[in-house]
Amino acid sequence: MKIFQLIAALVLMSPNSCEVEEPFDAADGRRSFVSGRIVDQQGNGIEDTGVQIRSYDDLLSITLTDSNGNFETAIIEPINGIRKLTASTYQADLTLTNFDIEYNFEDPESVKLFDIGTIALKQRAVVKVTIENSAAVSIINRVSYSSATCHYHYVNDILVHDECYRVVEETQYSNFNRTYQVPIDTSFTVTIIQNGVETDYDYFINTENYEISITI
Amino acid sequence: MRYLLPYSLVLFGVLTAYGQNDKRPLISKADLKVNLIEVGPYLAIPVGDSFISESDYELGFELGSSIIWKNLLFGVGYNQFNLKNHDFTRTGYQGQTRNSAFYLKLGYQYPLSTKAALGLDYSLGQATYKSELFDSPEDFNDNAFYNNLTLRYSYDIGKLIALNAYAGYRIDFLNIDVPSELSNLYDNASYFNAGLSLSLFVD
Repeated sequence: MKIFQLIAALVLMSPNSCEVEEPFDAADGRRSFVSGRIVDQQGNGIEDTGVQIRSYDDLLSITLTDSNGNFETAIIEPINGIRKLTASTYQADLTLTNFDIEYNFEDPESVKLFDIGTIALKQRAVVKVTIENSAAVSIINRVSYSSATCHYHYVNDILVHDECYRVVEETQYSNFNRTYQVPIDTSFTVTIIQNGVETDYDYFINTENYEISITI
Repeated sequence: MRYLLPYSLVLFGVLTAYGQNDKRPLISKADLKVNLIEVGPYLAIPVGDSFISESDYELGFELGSSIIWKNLLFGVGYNQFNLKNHDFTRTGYQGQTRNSAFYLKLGYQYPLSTKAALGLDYSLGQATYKSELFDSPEDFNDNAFYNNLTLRYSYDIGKLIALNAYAGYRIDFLNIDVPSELSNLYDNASYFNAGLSLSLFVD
């Protein structure tokens, strides 16, 4: 019995216990509303982009953009109001970046119009990286790039963070051949670590198909 | 506050009907028919533009009980049907909605023959929209003030049984808090409704 009490105490004291998501319990007789516009880099509305609205892991609505890229949808509210709201792409267009907008509110919101404004999606580029290790010595490859999902974070309606996710991957293969999807007009860095010495190869991805070939 | 006037009119109508007949026994058997139960399929088709007007509808049922005194009908009833929601932009991510209503009914019956009658009924009451989340057993309720105006044809097919056919216009005044941008979809929901029913009378 004491073992169970100890386990329970450890669970309650763990750092993650403060971040337990509230279970979704829908409010009676209330709705909110989310609207916005999805455009390409030239400002043209993108039709039929799927947008999903969530509060924590709970799906509140799914909608599609119209011919001008506009979308609007009613959402079911959690019973205690909305503390966290995310809008993100539902059916990704594989030629464009995804988006992920997160709103956090110190005081729960209710019966509100959430206008997420205009989101410009970038064109995606395919980057093919080939590293040929002809010296056959042990190397570590580190690849640093922007992912095709861009994140916008608001706290109390103020934008506090606006960035496409930066991903860093490290591998240890003699020969390396891999393909990445990144937003166009972003930087891409390959770092070769050989005997503790790091060598950076920096690239700026400005075409839809970009090839990087490095021979050691 | 908006419900006060219709409820007051019904109460006034009932009291007036009783008050007009103070020199005879209040209720004579010849003037009175008691419809013990009335039951049958009920169809409500969403019309107009509201948050459920794009939903698919299913056949429901209606049951009720009433008394017919001279030509006046007083009754209570219940109806229920389901709506399947697909346009989440109007409803949010809710799947099936079970619409149920309890109501009071006041009507006037005009005899066409010894067996047939034409009636006009007005019902008012409370409607509940019980909606399930799309991928979850969780549900939640929206309430509305139920109003229904019905034209009814009744035909006696036996001494104690009558067949009814009716059609009407129903409007639910919704009690849902929404931002003003949504108010056109959430103020009220209208239906064309129709049904068939069998009535069983008490001898």
